[in-house]
Amino acid sequence: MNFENIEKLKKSKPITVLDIILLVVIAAAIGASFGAVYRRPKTTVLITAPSFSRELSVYDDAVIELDHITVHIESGRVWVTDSVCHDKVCEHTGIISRAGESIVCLPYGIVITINGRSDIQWVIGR
Amino acid sequence: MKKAALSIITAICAVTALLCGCSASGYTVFSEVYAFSDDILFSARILGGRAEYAHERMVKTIAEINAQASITLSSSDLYKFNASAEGERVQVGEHVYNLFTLGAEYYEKTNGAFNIAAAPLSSLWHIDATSLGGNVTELPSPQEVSDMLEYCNPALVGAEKSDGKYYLTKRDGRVKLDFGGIAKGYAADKCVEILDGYDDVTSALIDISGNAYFYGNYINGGNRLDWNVAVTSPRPRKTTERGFVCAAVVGKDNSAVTSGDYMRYYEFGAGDDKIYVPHILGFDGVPIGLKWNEVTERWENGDEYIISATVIGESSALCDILSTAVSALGFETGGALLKNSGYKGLIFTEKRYTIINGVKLYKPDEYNGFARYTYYEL
Repeated sequence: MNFENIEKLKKSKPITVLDIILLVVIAAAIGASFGAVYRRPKTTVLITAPSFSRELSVYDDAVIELDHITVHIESGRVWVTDSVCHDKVCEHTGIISRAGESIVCLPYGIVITINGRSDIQWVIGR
Repeated sequence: MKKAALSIITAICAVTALLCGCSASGYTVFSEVYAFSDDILFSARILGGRAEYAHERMVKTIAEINAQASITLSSSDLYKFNASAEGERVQVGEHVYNLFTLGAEYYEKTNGAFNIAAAPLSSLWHIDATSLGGNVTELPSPQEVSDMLEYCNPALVGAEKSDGKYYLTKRDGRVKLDFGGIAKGYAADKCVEILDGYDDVTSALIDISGNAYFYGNYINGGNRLDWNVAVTSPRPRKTTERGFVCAAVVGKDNSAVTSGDYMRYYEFGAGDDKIYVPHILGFDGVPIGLKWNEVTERWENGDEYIISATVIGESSALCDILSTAVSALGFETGGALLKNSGYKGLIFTEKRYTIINGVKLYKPDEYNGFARYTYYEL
């Protein structure tokens, strides 16, 4: 038992207001770090076409009319109609709603993808 | 107190750094680019310092393959060959030569189920890239099909390699080749060779319009994991929610390819007479799922045909070949072919499904579209 150290402790300064502020700032920094790292990102719909790119929330209902296709977003579900291409592959894709799924209109280079956190890394059979 | 505060701050920095490392994947996600003219999209996500260089080289290689092997590009070697006369020796690039020899090999191995010389039949059925979806007013007769099938054979093409140059020669003027069923897989394998040349690329996901390759493990938070790959459900058709038929666990350094009548098909006829014509030819030269009714003298949709065949294995070209061959051969024969190949897969018809060589399903309770079908052990 080191009595000298105990005496030193007894004589050290008590916690000041500045110390409390520092602790609060540190706690806030920890909280912010957790928040930044683990915040659940919004699920979004990314629509890209030559010279066009738009990202919207999948939860905001919308109808987007592009030159060659119309994109529908409703209650987290996405599909296309009115495509002018001859094979209608994009329309045949049906409704997508999960992160990773996409609808592609190849002739016009339009890709509609749902982005978001998912435990699925890729989707095949599109 | 200063010392304590400093220690606390250091600890927080360390913890935050650790947490950040556990979060976002760190893969460079490249925008999709067209490959093979307007028909195919190349997607890539690469983890590694020189991801951009690797991506650039892969895009160049795909363009190179396309320049040689595109059936529609009038300057391609394949186009020139298809337009050539019987006996005319046509010089082609190495990629075309490789695609031809691999395709011819598997024509034999699959007893014609995989056929790179079926281009005339694709045109006859209006399922080639240019006519798919166009207004089809007439379907060919069984006789027309069997007559044409006789010259849809890669054995009617001579392949030569001499002095570092490659040549193809038609032995029958009517032969036309189409590498659509193998080119994407071949290109994906070439991309993997490129990735092998970059030691700092530890993981990547590349996809050439559905031919996916999973390079290395999936790396997340410092953990090396298997890849969870969802397979789109082929039913119901049209604009209804299909979701995934299942999610497969794919180990490192594997390709996964799905062949199916998902979206590439056309409708012929109307009302009760309406039939669906998938874009995949059977080994008999008839699109899978069609059978001839001798009484009505019309084509009908058959009882059972493969609506989805997924193949998982080391070579993307072979996955490409097998997924087409399995679809062409039907549930039992195709299933046997896949089983013998050693590659893994999942095969679905409208009624039943089977799992070949032990594909592990990821969260089968959640990704459970397959539960609509009856499991059948082959």
